[in-house]
Amino acid sequence: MVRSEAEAQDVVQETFMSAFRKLDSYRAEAPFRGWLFRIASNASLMRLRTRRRRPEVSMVLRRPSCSEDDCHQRPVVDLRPLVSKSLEDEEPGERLRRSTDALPDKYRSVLVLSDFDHRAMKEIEEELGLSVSAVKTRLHRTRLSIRKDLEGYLAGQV
Amino acid sequence: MLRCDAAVDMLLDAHDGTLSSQGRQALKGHLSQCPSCTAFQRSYEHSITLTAQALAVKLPTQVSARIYTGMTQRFRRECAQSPRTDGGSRSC
Repeated sequence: MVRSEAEAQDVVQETFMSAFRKLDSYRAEAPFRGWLFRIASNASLMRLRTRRRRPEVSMVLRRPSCSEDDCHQRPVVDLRPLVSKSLEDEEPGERLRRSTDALPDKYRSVLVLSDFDHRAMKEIEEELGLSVSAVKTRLHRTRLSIRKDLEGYLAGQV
Repeated sequence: MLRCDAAVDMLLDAHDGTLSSQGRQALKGHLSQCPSCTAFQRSYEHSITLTAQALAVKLPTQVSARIYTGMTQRFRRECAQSPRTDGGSRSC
């Protein structure tokens, strides 16, 4: 979420130190992993709030272009060939990580909490202090932007 | 009939399972007649899967080691700064 490896290391350290200090508040009936992830994402969000703002990048809504009576003026590229690959070291994985790294913080944090941490909308809303509709708008824009980037990547590969 | 752009804007709620029954019906009706939107929906779902995969990067071994070293140093520092309440030796 914080993008830089050095900052991520600090966040992990803060997370474990904080978890150690708050261990008394951990309720055994809740999954420990989830509790730890929540501390980590709070630490990450705290860093995003306090650090110098990155220059704002405009996030255009990247839906298929529609005219009055027609839509999908270009064919939709099938992303299935990428799904079967391991993205860890592959070029498309790197491309995807670059795309997510380039996102403005306010879009990236929503994406990470939703599509990586699998948090519920209500949780994201509370954690980021946003309305559900604002979370949904950001998430939709971000997903469409990433989908478009992957489509561009695959189209360029063919 | 639902327009394609409106159908695309329903995909988030459809994915989350929060689309109203009326919305689900409208989207289903549109997708049954629009192969491009069906393909678009598939690629939207695939991009979500791919994002989750790409962000789940394994931590390099040297990073784990650096985090461990950093934590040990911080723990010792915090422990040294914390006041002793019982007059005895610190357990940390």
